[in-house]
Amino acid sequence: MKILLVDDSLANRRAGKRQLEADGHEVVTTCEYVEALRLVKTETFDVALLDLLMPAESLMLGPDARAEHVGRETAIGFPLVLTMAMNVKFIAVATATNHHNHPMSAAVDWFYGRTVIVDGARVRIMHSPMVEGAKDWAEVLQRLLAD
Amino acid sequence: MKPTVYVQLDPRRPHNALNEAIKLVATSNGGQTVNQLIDQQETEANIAVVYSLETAQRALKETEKTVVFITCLPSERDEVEAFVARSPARIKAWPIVERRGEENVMRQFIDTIANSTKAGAS
Repeated sequence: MKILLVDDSLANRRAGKRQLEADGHEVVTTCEYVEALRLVKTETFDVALLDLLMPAESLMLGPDARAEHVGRETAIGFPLVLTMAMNVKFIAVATATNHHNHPMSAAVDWFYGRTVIVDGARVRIMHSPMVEGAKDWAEVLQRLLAD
Repeated sequence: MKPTVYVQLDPRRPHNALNEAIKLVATSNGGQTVNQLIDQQETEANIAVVYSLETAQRALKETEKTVVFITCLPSERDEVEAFVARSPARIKAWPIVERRGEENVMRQFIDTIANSTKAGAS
Protein backbone atom coordinates (compact mmCIF):
# COMPACT_ATOMS: atom_id res chain seq x y z
CA MET A 1 0.00 0.00 0.00
CA LYS A 2 1.03 3.60 -0.43
CA ILE A 3 1.08 5.28 2.97
CA LEU A 4 1.36 8.92 3.99
CA LEU A 5 2.94 9.34 7.42
CA VAL A 6 2.63 12.74 9.07
CA ASP A 7 4.53 13.32 12.30
CA ASP A 8 6.59 16.28 13.50
CA SER A 9 8.96 13.93 15.35
CA LEU A 10 11.97 12.88 13.30
CA ALA A 11 12.38 9.72 15.39
CA ASN A 12 8.78 8.68 14.74
CA ARG A 13 9.03 9.36 11.02
CA ARG A 14 12.24 7.35 10.72
CA ALA A 15 10.81 4.49 12.78
CA GLY A 16 7.57 4.45 10.78
CA LYS A 17 9.37 4.45 7.44
CA ARG A 18 11.58 1.59 8.57
CA GLN A 19 8.73 -0.47 10.05
CA LEU A 20 6.31 -0.01 7.17
CA GLU A 21 8.83 -0.44 4.34
CA ALA A 22 9.95 -3.67 6.01
CA ASP A 23 6.37 -4.86 5.48
CA GLY A 24 6.57 -3.94 1.82
CA HIS A 25 4.65 -0.67 1.84
CA GLU A 26 5.58 2.50 -0.03
CA VAL A 27 5.92 5.28 2.55
CA VAL A 28 5.93 9.04 2.08
CA THR A 29 6.69 11.05 5.20
CA THR A 30 6.29 14.70 6.05
CA CYS A 31 6.70 16.79 9.18
CA GLU A 32 4.30 19.54 8.10
CA TYR A 33 0.53 19.39 7.94
CA VAL A 34 0.42 22.00 5.18
CA GLU A 35 2.63 19.75 3.09
CA ALA A 36 0.45 16.76 4.02
CA LEU A 37 -2.62 18.47 2.63
CA ARG A 38 -0.78 19.26 -0.58
CA LEU A 39 0.34 15.64 -0.91
CA VAL A 40 -3.12 14.10 -0.56
CA LYS A 41 -4.38 16.41 -3.29
CA THR A 42 -1.58 15.63 -5.72
CA GLU A 43 -0.91 11.95 -5.01
CA THR A 44 -3.04 8.90 -4.28
CA PHE A 45 -2.60 7.27 -0.89
CA ASP A 46 -4.27 4.14 0.44
CA VAL A 47 -3.63 5.03 4.08
CA ALA A 48 -2.79 8.12 6.11
CA LEU A 49 -1.11 7.73 9.51
CA LEU A 50 -1.16 10.97 11.46
CA ASP A 51 0.24 12.38 14.63
CA LEU A 52 -2.33 14.17 16.79
CA LEU A 53 -0.32 17.07 18.24
CA MET A 54 1.92 19.09 15.96
CA PRO A 55 3.38 22.60 16.22
CA ALA A 56 1.27 25.35 14.67
CA GLU A 57 2.93 26.36 11.41
CA SER A 58 3.61 30.02 10.78
CA LEU A 59 2.22 29.81 7.23
CA MET A 60 -1.20 28.96 8.65
CA LEU A 61 -1.25 31.88 11.06
CA GLY A 62 -2.11 35.49 10.44
CA PRO A 63 0.53 38.04 11.43
CA ASP A 64 -1.34 38.97 14.63
CA ALA A 65 -1.52 35.33 15.74
CA ARG A 66 2.03 34.24 15.03
CA ALA A 67 3.67 35.48 18.19
CA GLU A 68 1.10 33.73 20.35
CA HIS A 69 0.75 30.44 18.49
CA VAL A 70 3.71 29.65 16.26
CA GLY A 71 5.39 26.46 17.39
CA ARG A 72 2.75 25.75 20.02
CA GLU A 73 1.49 22.17 19.99
CA THR A 74 -1.96 22.00 18.39
CA ALA A 75 -4.35 19.06 18.03
CA ILE A 76 -4.10 19.27 14.26
CA GLY A 77 -4.69 15.52 13.81
CA PHE A 78 -8.45 15.87 14.18
CA PRO A 79 -9.04 18.51 11.49
CA LEU A 80 -6.56 16.73 9.24
CA VAL A 81 -8.85 13.71 9.30
CA LEU A 82 -11.78 15.83 8.14
CA THR A 83 -9.73 17.35 5.35
CA MET A 84 -8.18 14.10 4.14
CA ALA A 85 -11.25 11.85 4.37
CA MET A 86 -12.38 12.63 0.85
CA ASN A 87 -9.03 11.51 -0.58
CA VAL A 88 -7.83 8.71 1.72
CA LYS A 89 -10.01 5.80 2.76
CA PHE A 90 -8.10 4.56 5.80
CA ILE A 91 -6.83 7.07 8.35
CA ALA A 92 -5.32 6.56 11.78
CA VAL A 93 -4.39 9.22 14.31
CA ALA A 94 -1.93 8.05 16.94
CA THR A 95 -0.59 10.11 19.81
CA ALA A 96 2.23 9.37 22.20
CA THR A 97 1.09 12.13 24.55
CA ASN A 98 -0.79 11.27 27.72
CA HIS A 99 -3.29 13.11 29.94
CA HIS A 100 -0.56 14.52 32.11
CA ASN A 101 1.05 16.37 29.22
CA HIS A 102 -1.82 17.65 27.14
CA PRO A 103 -5.61 17.90 27.71
CA MET A 104 -6.44 16.83 24.15
CA SER A 105 -5.04 13.40 24.95
CA ALA A 106 -8.09 12.77 27.16
CA ALA A 107 -10.34 13.12 24.10
CA VAL A 108 -8.54 10.21 22.50
CA ASP A 109 -9.95 7.87 25.17
CA TRP A 110 -13.44 8.36 23.80
CA PHE A 111 -12.34 6.71 20.56
CA TYR A 112 -10.85 3.64 22.25
CA GLY A 113 -11.73 0.55 20.22
CA ARG A 114 -14.07 2.46 17.90
CA THR A 115 -13.89 2.92 14.16
CA VAL A 116 -15.43 6.18 13.01
CA ILE A 117 -16.63 6.73 9.46
CA VAL A 118 -15.89 10.17 8.08
CA ASP A 119 -16.97 10.92 4.53
CA GLY A 120 -16.62 7.22 3.70
CA ALA A 121 -13.16 6.93 5.25
CA ARG A 122 -12.53 4.48 8.10
CA VAL A 123 -10.83 6.32 10.94
CA ARG A 124 -9.20 5.04 14.13
CA ILE A 125 -7.89 7.40 16.79
CA MET A 126 -5.67 5.95 19.48
CA HIS A 127 -2.88 6.26 21.97
CA SER A 128 0.03 4.95 20.02
CA PRO A 129 1.69 1.64 20.79
CA MET A 130 5.40 2.23 21.24
CA VAL A 131 8.46 0.22 20.37
CA GLU A 132 12.05 1.13 21.24
CA GLY A 133 11.06 4.65 22.23
CA ALA A 134 9.18 5.48 19.01
CA LYS A 135 5.65 4.94 17.77
CA ASP A 136 4.90 1.49 16.44
CA TRP A 137 3.27 2.58 13.21
CA ALA A 138 3.12 -0.97 11.92
CA GLU A 139 0.91 -1.89 14.87
CA VAL A 140 -1.15 1.27 14.33
CA LEU A 141 -1.73 0.19 10.74
CA GLN A 142 -2.68 -3.29 11.82
CA ARG A 143 -5.29 -1.95 14.23
CA LEU A 144 -6.64 0.39 11.58
CA LEU A 145 -7.13 -2.40 9.07
CA ALA A 146 -8.26 -5.02 11.58
CA ASP A 147 -12.00 -4.28 11.41
CA MET B 1 36.41 17.77 13.15
CA LYS B 2 35.13 21.26 12.32
CA PRO B 3 31.52 22.07 13.13
CA THR B 4 29.42 22.44 10.01
CA VAL B 5 27.39 25.57 9.34
CA TYR B 6 24.54 25.80 6.83
CA VAL B 7 23.54 29.33 5.84
CA GLN B 8 20.39 30.01 3.85
CA LEU B 9 19.29 33.62 3.73
CA ASP B 10 17.16 34.63 0.77
CA PRO B 11 17.49 31.55 -1.48
CA ARG B 12 16.66 33.73 -4.48
CA ARG B 13 20.06 35.37 -3.96
CA PRO B 14 22.32 32.68 -2.52
CA HIS B 15 25.44 34.87 -2.72
CA ASN B 16 23.98 37.96 -1.08
CA ALA B 17 26.31 39.98 1.12
CA LEU B 18 24.82 38.90 4.45
CA ASN B 19 25.01 35.23 3.47
CA GLU B 20 28.67 35.62 2.59
CA ALA B 21 29.45 37.65 5.70
CA ILE B 22 27.99 35.02 8.02
CA LYS B 23 29.87 32.28 6.20
CA LEU B 24 33.08 34.24 6.61
CA VAL B 25 32.48 34.63 10.34
CA ALA B 26 31.80 30.90 10.58
CA THR B 27 34.98 29.85 8.77
CA SER B 28 37.07 32.45 10.58
CA ASN B 29 36.02 30.97 13.89
CA GLY B 30 36.71 27.34 13.20
CA GLY B 31 33.60 26.24 11.36
CA GLN B 32 33.15 24.93 7.85
CA THR B 33 30.22 25.81 5.63
CA VAL B 34 28.02 23.21 3.95
CA ASN B 35 25.47 23.48 1.16
CA GLN B 36 22.77 21.31 2.66
CA LEU B 37 21.10 21.10 6.02
CA ILE B 38 21.23 17.30 5.79
CA ASP B 39 23.56 15.60 3.35
CA GLN B 40 23.00 12.37 1.46
CA GLN B 41 24.48 10.36 4.33
CA GLU B 42 21.81 11.93 6.57
CA THR B 43 24.45 13.86 8.48
CA GLU B 44 22.92 17.10 9.71
CA ALA B 45 24.71 20.42 9.95
CA ASN B 46 25.70 21.41 13.48
CA ILE B 47 24.42 24.94 12.98
CA ALA B 48 21.94 26.51 10.57
CA VAL B 49 21.28 30.19 9.88
CA VAL B 50 17.94 30.79 8.16
CA TYR B 51 15.74 33.74 7.34
CA SER B 52 12.16 32.70 8.08
CA LEU B 53 10.05 31.04 10.73
CA GLU B 54 8.81 28.45 8.24
CA THR B 55 12.35 27.44 7.31
CA ALA B 56 13.36 27.34 10.96
CA GLN B 57 10.36 25.18 11.89
CA ARG B 58 11.19 22.74 9.12
CA ALA B 59 14.86 22.66 10.16
CA LEU B 60 13.85 21.93 13.73
CA LYS B 61 11.67 19.00 12.65
CA GLU B 62 14.07 17.60 10.07
CA THR B 63 17.06 17.44 12.43
CA GLU B 64 17.78 16.13 15.88
CA LYS B 65 20.48 18.43 17.20
CA THR B 66 21.09 21.28 14.75
CA VAL B 67 21.11 24.68 16.45
CA VAL B 68 19.11 27.08 14.29
CA PHE B 69 19.62 30.84 14.15
CA ILE B 70 16.70 32.83 12.66
CA THR B 71 17.51 36.25 11.26
CA CYS B 72 14.77 38.78 11.86
CA LEU B 73 13.91 42.42 11.40
CA PRO B 74 12.72 44.47 14.36
CA SER B 75 9.11 44.09 13.15
CA GLU B 76 9.45 40.29 13.29
CA ARG B 77 11.19 40.10 16.62
CA ASP B 78 8.09 39.36 18.76
CA GLU B 79 7.01 36.30 16.82
CA VAL B 80 10.55 34.99 16.44
CA GLU B 81 11.28 35.37 20.14
CA ALA B 82 7.97 33.67 21.00
CA PHE B 83 9.03 30.75 18.84
CA VAL B 84 12.51 30.72 20.36
CA ALA B 85 11.00 30.54 23.86
CA ARG B 86 9.40 27.21 22.92
CA SER B 87 12.68 25.58 21.93
CA PRO B 88 15.43 27.65 23.55
CA ALA B 89 18.05 24.93 23.36
CA ARG B 90 17.82 24.69 19.60
CA ILE B 91 16.60 28.00 18.27
CA LYS B 92 18.23 31.43 18.60
CA ALA B 93 16.91 34.73 17.34
CA TRP B 94 19.28 36.75 15.18
CA PRO B 95 18.09 40.34 15.03
CA ILE B 96 19.47 42.09 11.99
CA VAL B 97 19.80 45.17 14.15
CA GLU B 98 22.50 44.10 16.55
CA ARG B 99 22.03 43.87 20.28
CA ARG B 100 24.73 44.87 22.66
CA GLY B 101 26.81 43.12 25.27
CA GLU B 102 25.84 39.63 26.35
CA GLU B 103 22.87 39.54 24.01
CA ASN B 104 25.07 40.14 21.00
CA VAL B 105 23.98 37.46 18.62
CA MET B 106 27.30 37.32 16.82
CA ARG B 107 28.88 36.39 20.16
CA GLN B 108 26.29 33.61 20.56
CA PHE B 109 27.00 32.39 17.02
CA ILE B 110 30.75 32.22 17.62
CA ASP B 111 30.28 30.56 21.00
CA THR B 112 27.97 27.96 19.42
CA ILE B 113 30.66 27.12 16.87
CA ALA B 114 33.25 26.87 19.63
CA ASN B 115 31.00 24.60 21.73
CA SER B 116 30.32 22.41 18.71
CA THR B 117 34.07 22.06 18.22
CA LYS B 118 34.53 20.97 21.85
CA ALA B 119 31.61 18.55 21.60
CA GLY B 120 33.08 17.05 18.46
CA ALA B 121 36.48 16.71 20.07
CA SER B 122 35.20 14.96 23.19
